Amino acid sequence: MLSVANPLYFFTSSVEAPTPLSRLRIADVMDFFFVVHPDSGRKEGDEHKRIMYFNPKVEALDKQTEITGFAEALQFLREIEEEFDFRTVSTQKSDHVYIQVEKQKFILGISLSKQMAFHSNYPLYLPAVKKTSSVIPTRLFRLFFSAIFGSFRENDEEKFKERLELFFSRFLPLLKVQRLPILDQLGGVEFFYHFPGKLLYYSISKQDLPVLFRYLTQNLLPTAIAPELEPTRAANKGRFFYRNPDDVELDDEEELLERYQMIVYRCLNATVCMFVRFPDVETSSKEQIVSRRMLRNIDAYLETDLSNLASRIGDEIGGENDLRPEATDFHYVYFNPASLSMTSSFSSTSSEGLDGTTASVGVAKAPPPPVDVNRLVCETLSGFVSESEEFGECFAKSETDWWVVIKKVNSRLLVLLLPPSSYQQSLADVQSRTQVIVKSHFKAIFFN
Amino acid sequence: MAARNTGARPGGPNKTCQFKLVLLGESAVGKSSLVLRFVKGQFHEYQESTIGAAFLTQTVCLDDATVKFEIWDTAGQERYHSLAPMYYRGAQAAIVVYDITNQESFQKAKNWVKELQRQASPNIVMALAGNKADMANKRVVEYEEAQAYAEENALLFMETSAKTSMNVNDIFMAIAKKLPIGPPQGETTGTVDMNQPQQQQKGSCCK
Amino acid sequence: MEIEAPGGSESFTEDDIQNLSLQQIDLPEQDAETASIMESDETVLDRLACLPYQAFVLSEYGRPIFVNSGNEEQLCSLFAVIGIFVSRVKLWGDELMTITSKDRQIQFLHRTPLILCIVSKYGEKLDEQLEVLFEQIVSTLSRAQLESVYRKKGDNYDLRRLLRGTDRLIESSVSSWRGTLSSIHSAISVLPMNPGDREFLSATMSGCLGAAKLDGALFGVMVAHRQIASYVRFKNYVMHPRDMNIVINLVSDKSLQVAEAQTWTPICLPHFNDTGFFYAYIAYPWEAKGIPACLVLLSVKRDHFDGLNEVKKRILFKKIGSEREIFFGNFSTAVVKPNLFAISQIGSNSESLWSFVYRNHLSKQVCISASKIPLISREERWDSRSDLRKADALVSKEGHLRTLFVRNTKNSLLIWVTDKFSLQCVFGPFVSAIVAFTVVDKLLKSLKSHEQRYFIIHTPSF
Repeated sequence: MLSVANPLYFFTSSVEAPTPLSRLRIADVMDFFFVVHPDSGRKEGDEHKRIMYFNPKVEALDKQTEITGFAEALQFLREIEEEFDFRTVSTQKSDHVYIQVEKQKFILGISLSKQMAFHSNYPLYLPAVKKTSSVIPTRLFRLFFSAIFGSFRENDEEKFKERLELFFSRFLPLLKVQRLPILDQLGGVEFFYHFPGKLLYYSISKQDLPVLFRYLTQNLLPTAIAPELEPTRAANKGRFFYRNPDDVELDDEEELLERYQMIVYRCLNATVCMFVRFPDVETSSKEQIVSRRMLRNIDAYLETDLSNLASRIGDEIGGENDLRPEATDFHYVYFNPASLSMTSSFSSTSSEGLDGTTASVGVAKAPPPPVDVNRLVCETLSGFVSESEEFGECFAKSETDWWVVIKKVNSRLLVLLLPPSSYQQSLADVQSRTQVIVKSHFKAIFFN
Repeated sequence: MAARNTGARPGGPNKTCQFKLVLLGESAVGKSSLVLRFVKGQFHEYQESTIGAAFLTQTVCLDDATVKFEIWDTAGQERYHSLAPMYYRGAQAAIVVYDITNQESFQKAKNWVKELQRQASPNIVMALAGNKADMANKRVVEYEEAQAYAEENALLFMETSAKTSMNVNDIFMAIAKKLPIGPPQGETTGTVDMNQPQQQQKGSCCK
Repeated sequence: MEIEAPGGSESFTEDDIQNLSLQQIDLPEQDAETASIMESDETVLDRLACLPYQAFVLSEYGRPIFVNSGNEEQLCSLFAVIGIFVSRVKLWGDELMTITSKDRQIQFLHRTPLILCIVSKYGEKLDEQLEVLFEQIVSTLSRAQLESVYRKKGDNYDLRRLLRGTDRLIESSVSSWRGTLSSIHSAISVLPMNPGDREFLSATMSGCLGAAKLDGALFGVMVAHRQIASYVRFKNYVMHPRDMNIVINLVSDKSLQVAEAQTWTPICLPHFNDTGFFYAYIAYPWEAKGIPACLVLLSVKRDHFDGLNEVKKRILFKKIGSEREIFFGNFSTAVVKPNLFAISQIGSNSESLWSFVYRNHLSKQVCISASKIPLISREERWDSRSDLRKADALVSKEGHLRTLFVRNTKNSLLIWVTDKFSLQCVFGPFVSAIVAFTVVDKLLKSLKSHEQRYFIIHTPSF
């Protein structure tokens, strides 16, 4: 029986927000997902022992062994050793991503069905899939269980498998992908231009931010909301979610991992996530780093201030200072790699609140783009707007008469998806329309 | 197309005959090199393998006639084997080539001889050429062995070297001399009408 | 704006059923010795990693057949791995297409009984490249023979025995695909000529072929620099551009460029009929004069050599007189100093346009611009070519793409796709859309008015 203290407790999917049109569950397009430890299956006859986790369980062990064996054999291509060394495989029926993690000791693999993707109107774009289905779960898993991954030993194998089972069986059903894959691929975080569920401030490293943020907003917080909805609960009371020691490992400046304890404190709609570093010197094992006294102090300190802040934020919405763009008749994505700030008309909460209610602000009036156009955005961006260059510009027109515009200025990226219109027949028309849009909607953000 | 003069008497009656000659043999024995040496007086160390078959002509002058060879230089590869009849059918002469440093090529040459004896024209003039004679230090087929075989089968025989040009002209000349250049039948024109379809005439080729 | 597409509207339809029985060539009955023991060599793998691409051909049963620039014997373990991957996926009822890693893409093609694979740093249209490679092999053996040889000789048969001597043709097929833009477009490129000269040449060729009444002679082509100077055909028979490129690849082999020789060789044209063989009469009639133009006459009858040899002679000597002298003078110049489309002839403002590739979808012909500053050196041209290739790959992958305009600090690209044609342009950087389209408009008009020079509008039949 899992206690509140165990982070896995929060992965129970008791509350699931309805999936907006812009996102879908990865489970809807997935053939299989696995984690293998090749060294465990080296002995002839014991190959199946390499399998640490496999989803779906219904697949026969033979088939599982074959599938994972194939992934392992892909390593024949010798590449530079990089943490997320990967292979993508495309067959007639499916697209696969395989990545090696933890110094090549483990392989994560996922296969997405082309047919299912077609029926779900999801344009399979492998670099985005790679990020969502491989990079994120790995990082997330590592954040919480890095001790396990890093110090994997034979006799810990059963426990390791158990943890994987718990983690992925709950994580996978919740994992979502964007219909506009570029949003997943860029991996930005939506800042406080919209509310709720947006980031106000962060001080952790950029490597960890997107993953942690995602964990908070997609996994931890949704499960926490349920109790808040109960009318009997006192509105202003703050709450902690805190966890046991040996949990989080974050990157510092030198990209080394350091251990922290994570404390999550929530009041009204505002959440603060704090990280207490483990001291360098070994302390007595009896003393907990985060003591009850510390928590009481934090509670006393934050409760009033945080609830005030939350109220003020609530007031700002709908006011004159509301900087959110109005509903637009085009779609857009804005991304600043320096700050990881990302905003789009496909905002994850633009059509749903964390509490399940629907908010209509920030939603584009424009119809959803066709699947082809979504994919075109990814292809043109990766093909023709160089990552290394600070400037770039790209216009693409589909036979559906949708236009994709990509502008890169000072490394900041703006993507526009313009639905068919009689005002944009020629490229010159589109160029001028783009200028108008940038001026009216993105001036402040884009050029600062 | 330079004619090779070998002592034609100036002013003498000169008949021109044309003969179809085919070169057969395993791949890489030097068929194309022999032809290149004979027709252009050239040799390339790294001669590319022949595609399909190359058709060239060369004329030699005998004492009392001019002989024009219509030469088919065939590719020796396996996949072309069944096309060979197309080239040796109606040929009046054939040179079967082997490489003196390659035993297998000699075996293959014998097979060609057998095939020609079975399938080609009964009057065909056949010559056996042991090419690459300049590589005597790597020889595996002895002169005597080949000589004996040639005698048994009524073949002209010479060891040749396209590289040094040893015996190249000689072997063609020997064939030319053996070809039936009889007295003209009917017309006495000394030229060949190119627009006339080729006709096989018994014994003589001249018109 | 309605634009008439320059370059002809004679549509090449694949539906044209060409019913002709072609002769087969029998495979040899006797067996030669088997190949020697193979070793694998890790350093060869390392060397491979440095090359921009590697093409592999193996049998379904894992036997190596071909690898460009390398000894297939040393790579047998790599071949085996490729075979295993393909067959494992096949067992799952699926078909392996690509594997990618950080900087390499591996494309697979399974065409029974062969497996073809290419490992490349550049991912453009690798699937098509493998189809071309497969067709090149089929052109030597025919599909029928390729399939039957394993049935007759067993799974372990070493196909290299039948492909001996063709390595260089396969290599040039692969490398010309990567180097020639027309191949990439599955189209043919035409030698620029005065319209009158081309007409004269075509009329002469079709006249001589017609008069010869060789039943089974189907095509006559004049080739120079991998471009078509003239093309004539029998009645309604047509040659697919990919078959044409196979013929071009064959006749461009240096060994055939001999003044004194004519070549007679079987060749299978897969798109026409992959079960049997044509016979190609190949001659370089003016080689001795330094004019590298090749006359190719194709017939389905293997005994047509003499007849076709006569046709060639007639073509060469027809209409002796001043008309012919003029033609020959012009033709020599056109071949020796090819005059590709010079962008400057478009007129003012064309300086910003650096290069273009125009393709007419109906006639399947391309027109490529002459090199122009700043794209002169090989490096410069390579860079812009790879941009164009990327664009072309995107157009292939995303069939719904109609316009693409990319601007960066290096250059600007404009791609325009319609039902009738596609146009790919490289401009200098910072060119506005308005200027780009103005230039494009002028370009299309110029191509249209000179289309007889740069395209074969009408292919006479005999």
